[in-house]
Amino acid sequence: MATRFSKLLHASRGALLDSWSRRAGSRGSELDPQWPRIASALMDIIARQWEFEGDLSMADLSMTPGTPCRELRDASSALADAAVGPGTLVAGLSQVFDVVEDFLVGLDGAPRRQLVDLKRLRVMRDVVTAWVLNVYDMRQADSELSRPSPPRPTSRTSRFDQLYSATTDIIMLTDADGMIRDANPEALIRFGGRLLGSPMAEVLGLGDEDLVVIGHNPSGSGVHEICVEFGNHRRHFGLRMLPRGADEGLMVLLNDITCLIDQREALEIEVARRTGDLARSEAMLESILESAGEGVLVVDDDLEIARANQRASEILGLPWPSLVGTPVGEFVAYADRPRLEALTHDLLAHEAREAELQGVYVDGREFSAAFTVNRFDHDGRRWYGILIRDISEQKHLEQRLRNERQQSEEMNVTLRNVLNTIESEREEADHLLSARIRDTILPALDKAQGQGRAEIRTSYMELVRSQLIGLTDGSAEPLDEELLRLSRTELEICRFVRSGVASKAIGEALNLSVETVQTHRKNIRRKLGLRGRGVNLHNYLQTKRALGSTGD
Amino acid sequence: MWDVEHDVVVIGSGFAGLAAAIEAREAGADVVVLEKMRNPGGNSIVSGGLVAAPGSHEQRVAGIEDSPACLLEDMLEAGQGLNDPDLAALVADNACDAHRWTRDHIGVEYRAGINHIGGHSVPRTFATALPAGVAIVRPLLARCRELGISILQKTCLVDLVADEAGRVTGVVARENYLFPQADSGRERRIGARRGVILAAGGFGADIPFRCLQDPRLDDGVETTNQQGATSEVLRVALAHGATPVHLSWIQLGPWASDDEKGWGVGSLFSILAGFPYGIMVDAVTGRRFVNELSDRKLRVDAMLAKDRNPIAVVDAVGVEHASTLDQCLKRGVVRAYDTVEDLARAAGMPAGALAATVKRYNQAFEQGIDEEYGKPLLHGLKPLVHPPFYAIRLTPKVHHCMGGLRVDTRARVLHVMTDEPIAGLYAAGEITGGVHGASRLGSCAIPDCLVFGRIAGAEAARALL
Repeated sequence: MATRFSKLLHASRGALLDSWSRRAGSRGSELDPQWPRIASALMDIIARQWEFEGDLSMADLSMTPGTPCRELRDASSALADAAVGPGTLVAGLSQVFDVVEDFLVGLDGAPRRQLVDLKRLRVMRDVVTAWVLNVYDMRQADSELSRPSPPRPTSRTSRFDQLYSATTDIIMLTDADGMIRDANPEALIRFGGRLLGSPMAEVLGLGDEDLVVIGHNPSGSGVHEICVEFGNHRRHFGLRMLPRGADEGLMVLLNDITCLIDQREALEIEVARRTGDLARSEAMLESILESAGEGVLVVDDDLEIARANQRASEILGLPWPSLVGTPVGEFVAYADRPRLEALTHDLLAHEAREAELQGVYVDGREFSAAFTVNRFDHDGRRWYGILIRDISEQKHLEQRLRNERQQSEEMNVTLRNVLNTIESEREEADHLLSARIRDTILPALDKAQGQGRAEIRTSYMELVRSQLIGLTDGSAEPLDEELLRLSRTELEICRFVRSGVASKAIGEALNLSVETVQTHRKNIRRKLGLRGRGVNLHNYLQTKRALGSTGD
Repeated sequence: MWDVEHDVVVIGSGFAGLAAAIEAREAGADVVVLEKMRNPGGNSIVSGGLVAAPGSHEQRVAGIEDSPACLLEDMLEAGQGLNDPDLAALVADNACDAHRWTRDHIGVEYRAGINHIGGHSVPRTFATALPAGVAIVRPLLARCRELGISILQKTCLVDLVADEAGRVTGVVARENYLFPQADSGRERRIGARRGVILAAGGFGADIPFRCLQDPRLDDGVETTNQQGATSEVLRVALAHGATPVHLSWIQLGPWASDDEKGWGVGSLFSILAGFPYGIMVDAVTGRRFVNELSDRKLRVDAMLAKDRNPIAVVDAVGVEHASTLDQCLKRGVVRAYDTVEDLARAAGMPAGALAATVKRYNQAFEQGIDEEYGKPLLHGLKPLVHPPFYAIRLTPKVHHCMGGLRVDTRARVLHVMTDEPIAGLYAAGEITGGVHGASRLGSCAIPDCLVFGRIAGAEAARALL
């Protein structure tokens, strides 16, 4: 912007000088030829200075080589020689600056920037004025030495005395005691007749402290803002005090910056309003961030945390000052860090990715966490929003569910096995049943059928019945099968034996010899597996219901 | 009577609380730690992690002559003689041991090299590898986890419970407490068979309470403390007859940055590089105004004396000591300039003033003495000549409460009426007062917390039932 203004100034230099000379020459009287030199030199100085940062200082003007400064000095000296008054000189310079100022104000641009430029130009105006006055004073001193009787400054009038009178700047000259000795008409208009002979500090309402501050930096770029009360209203001025070389007085320049101040105040109000708005939306954002149930981290493109909410603090165990600036990877288990980086890798703006990673709490404990990474771009930089959810509880529940499912599956298997066992047992039982029917009952029935003697048939039928009863109550005695191995005679003898009948009596009853009965008894013992076991046959047979009772 | 009962109940999970808990647990006690915030570590976790250790092996290797007596002398000088000499001596005598305990027993990693911190007569300070207190808190917490010490977060002390004889037998606390809502959560009574240890820190972030002690420290003054550094526990203890000492001595840190909140990353930059290896100038005049290695209080008083705009400046060689430089640059807390003039212009200093100041400072090295402000020109200190030059804008912030509960050398809280210990009540760390007097020396808080925390833990664990 600064250089833009400088270029524009260069380009418009001719037009500006025309405009200046129209203004200066409008009153018709002849213009001292020094003035165009001054105007032209000033334009150059302003344009050049604008290319640099910072304010112009008196030293800059004295030390800068080149024509514009020399021109300005020579022309000012010439005017001094021509006994032009200092007020006239200041007014003339002011008029050149007024032209440039009008030009600046007429340019397009941000009002704030213009305000800055305008202030800068005002500072420049004061510095140049002070410098020219110094040159002028030195020249006067020189000429006073060379001339016995200096001409009075007021002895000649030129058009610039009128301008001195017409400038809107206030100019006062004080003596060594700070009393106002001279002032331009503008000053007299503003402050009234009491001005001349009054202490300058009092007129301007400056306290001792202000004077110390101002005195601290009397020349150079030091412009001080002061506020002067005029009855019921106040005006703001840019104040500059310049030592006047010859005596110890000061030249006091005031330019009215009330409109600048007003603009600035308006600007400040605007800034305050916007700052307030910003603070409100910040607070809103903050409360949204804080009320989020999940940990929220804002991470920059180095993957360092730039912001964190309270929930994130809670999940990771660190307060925000410790989180901010820390690489987010430090809060993920070492083995999971590549996966975290993979989440951000080549992520598109507004794309979101999720992963379950092992988070690390401040005390080193690891926990399951769901990371959701989102990218957004701001200020030409890449940012990531990371949501962290502690899912260790959820994981814990999931694990429990898994365990329970596994347990119930195991239970199922067991049940199935039990059922299978039952099934096979049932099959076995069926098998056993049919085997018994086939092997025992049916043959017994056959034998019974083929038996003519009623009591023997009954005996077989008894056997079959007892077998069938055994099947129904499930407690069939396997020994009964052994009984079936016995022959008809043997069964008959058994019944007698069980009843306690002696062998001799049995022989008589069955018409057998005692020997034969003894042989039968031996065979019975063998068939029943009692041989050599010392078991009394009579007692043994007592337990056998299936034998039935003796036929009679 | 109690919802739950333990041998020892520790209030606060910073350096002092964790050290006490570990010590008590290792002595066989059943310990629980209450922490009112949502994360453990208190203010310690955001501290700088600097530990003074006088008479260390490393000092002997570096040829630095030092002793606990020398540290004690420095502490008493900074403390303007207000210190309780017995308590201060205990910290000085055990500081080196506390440092070794963190390193060898707890597993804290330290950076190589010994730092010279303002107010100390010799370099004697160790800095953690990761430049923050979290580098100490993290392994302390890991140790607690190993030992099975539970740290109940969001659990805030409401009251102490004492029996008829005045012995503290437990506490009333609110669980599921949401700082700072006083009525949040639900009350629980927690019994403490052997003792209650108060390790709840200072009240630097408690603006109403600190204003009562020192009305200048209103909300216009920032703090380096975390927001939970408030006075509830201190007030509960006072209500039970504890003795307050030095409450109005509240320290401001001279090294904090104007361009970030709280302790940030700039504070360590100033402590480790800006002050020892650079200069502090007033941007209004471009001149130095105090010995940059003087005690904190002297520096802060000088910073606040006039309408000053303090800036610390250090060159490319001195900046190597700043462990947080990268973060400082990234966040704009520290800025780098190619020349002293660029730096001066950016800071709005009068032209040439800073260059002249730097020149004068550099001349001091030729003379071997800083005649202007008496900064000790120690070994390793060099003239500021190597660009780029780094600048940090400084503003004093509330940092440490020297005052607190009066304790004896066995960390027992003393009763205001009898001067006798209140049975069953111990305190350690910033909540206590008297160790540091008018001004705490940098890097002496962590030794204080660790030394008294361990004493309190051991004392409580072996207290008779």
